[in-house]
Amino acid sequence: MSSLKSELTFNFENASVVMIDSSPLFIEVLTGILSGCGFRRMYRCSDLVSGTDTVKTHSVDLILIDPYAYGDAAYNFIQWLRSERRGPNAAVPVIILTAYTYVRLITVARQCGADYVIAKPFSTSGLLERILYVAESEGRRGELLAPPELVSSSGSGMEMW
Amino acid sequence: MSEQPKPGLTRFFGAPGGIGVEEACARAAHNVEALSDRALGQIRDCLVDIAAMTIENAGPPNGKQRRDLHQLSCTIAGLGGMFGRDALSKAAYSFCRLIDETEPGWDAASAVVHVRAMQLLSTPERATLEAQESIIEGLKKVRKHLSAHR
Repeated sequence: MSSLKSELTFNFENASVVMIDSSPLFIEVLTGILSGCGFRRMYRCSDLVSGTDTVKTHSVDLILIDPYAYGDAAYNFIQWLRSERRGPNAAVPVIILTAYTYVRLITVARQCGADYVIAKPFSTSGLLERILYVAESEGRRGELLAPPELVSSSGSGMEMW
Repeated sequence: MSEQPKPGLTRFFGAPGGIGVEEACARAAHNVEALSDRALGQIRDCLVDIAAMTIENAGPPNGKQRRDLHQLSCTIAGLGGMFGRDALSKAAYSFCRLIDETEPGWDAASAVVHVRAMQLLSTPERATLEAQESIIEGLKKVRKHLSAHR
């Protein structure tokens, strides 16, 4: 993973991001990070029903989801998203955020079409770095050749892709 | 001939009125810091609930309590390191692993060790960084010992 590009600038004011997390406080943490990065159009979803409705009715640029509270339904949601090939959001970057990483999660994440798995806790720069990385990788899903496992130096679990 | 619009988020790269990475990170960190009191309060509440189901409860947790313990620990694991308590996150993660690795059984002593560790690490100024790392290594050894004897 390359370090953040110091010369890069971005204006995410008109970018739309969907956050799906059962923790209201963590949604606020994500909101704080994303608003600091310039995002203004943020859809906060505490469950998959509202997340699905949002994706069905809006064109979005990024999805952040913590699957912990939803189990397999979260991965089914991502798989469904990817299957909607003619939909506006079929190729949108999806980043899984989770405090509990385990080997099966990584396999399932790859299979359902997620772009990245980030272990909570993460730094603000860490999340931004991954957002910029998946933004530049959009459309090349499946071609990523990152090592299968990276031990995060700042998180409790493992950062993988 | 006009350029094709860039796909996805990259169309916002280099857009007028943009900010750089350093400024974005500084703003984001400031916003997160503003949530510190609430986050630490939630961590405290989670620890109280965990202690009630482990240290203060003689018997093993039932199925629902087990799931609750796992969720509470995950909450701590997710928040701790974002608010200056990285070792607490690791201890909470270890407790989640313990819950899974001992299922369907339960090892009360190992659970109590984890809960006590989390309580200590929730106030990081009570232990040096070296001591915190030593505690985390100790928790790994506890789980390793359990696995070896299952």
